[in-house]
Amino acid sequence: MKKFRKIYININSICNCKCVNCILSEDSRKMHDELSIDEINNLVDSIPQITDNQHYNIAEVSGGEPTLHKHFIEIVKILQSAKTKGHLHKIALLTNGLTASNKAFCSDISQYIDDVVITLYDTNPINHDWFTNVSGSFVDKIAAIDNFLECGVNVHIKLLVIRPSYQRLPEIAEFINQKWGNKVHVAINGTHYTGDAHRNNDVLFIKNQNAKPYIEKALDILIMNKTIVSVFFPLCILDPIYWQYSPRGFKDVIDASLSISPKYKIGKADRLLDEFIHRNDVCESCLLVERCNWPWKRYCEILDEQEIIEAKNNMYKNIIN
Amino acid sequence: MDNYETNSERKVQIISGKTNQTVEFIINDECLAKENYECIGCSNSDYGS
Repeated sequence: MKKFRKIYININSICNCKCVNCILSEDSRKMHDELSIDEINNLVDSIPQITDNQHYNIAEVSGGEPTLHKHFIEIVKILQSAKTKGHLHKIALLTNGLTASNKAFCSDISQYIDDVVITLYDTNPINHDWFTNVSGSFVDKIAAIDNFLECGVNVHIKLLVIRPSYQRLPEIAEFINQKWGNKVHVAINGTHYTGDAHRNNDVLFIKNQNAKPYIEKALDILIMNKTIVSVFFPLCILDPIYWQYSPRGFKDVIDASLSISPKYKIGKADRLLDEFIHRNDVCESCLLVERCNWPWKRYCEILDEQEIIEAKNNMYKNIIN
Repeated sequence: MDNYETNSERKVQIISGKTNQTVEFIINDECLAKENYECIGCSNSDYGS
């Protein structure tokens, strides 16, 4: 069976939102870095030389807001061509959904992509638009999700565990159930406090333990509705009945992945480990290490390791032979 | 140790605080969503989302 490998393709840094929790800094978004068509052609051509046929290659196109790249359609056509040649197996787009609220544009790009990932911050429009700093972004995002579904694209809705909305996760789950039934995949993710998210951590940071009951309630609501869910969160915090919804560990995914960006061009994605992973003995020595998605690096810098030490100790007390 | 191997599966048995039942978890298994979704949307390395 082939293992899957992600190829993160970061095509630009410009964005039409100014999310308070953006993992990039405002300075890096202002740099307006982008990959040119020639660079993308060359980098995509080099994929078969540096990969092998043991992997199932999933391209994830992101930015900034990737659809704002002036050659976005050409870029996804290049990727589609690589897919036709068998170098890529699936093309996913990470977007804030604002441009895809336009039905004609969404229909155009949907020919070339298989999956789309959209983050929903809240289902209260005012609360949601507070995150993005763009009035009307909630309405646009909902329209984009409807448009993508209508075009037959697989939709992944990402929910973030973050202070202004973590208590509303169950309500957000109810909203998703009512609006889209189980036609979407929902992933509940811990937050990376890098970039603007780190700069604004005084208003965004929430302890994992405080979020736990709301995450578990949201999962209950979605699972009850037979919605496919994933949870990307330290396992020692969550009750074991939810562990089966945890994807493989981040380290495992990254080890097999490639990263393409204006700054780094193409290379192994393992540099992301240094950027995101908090290397600590508590997690390294845990029996769940390969499956768990760890507390993120900046999380432990803000809070220290005590929460994870206690959570791990409590988890070990419940293990039976 | 508390985990054990059966046919290369590494399992752990643990009591759920929520149900008070024993949960058997295969550490080196894939998550339930993987078959259809291949972890798209689940990686926190996703940029700019």
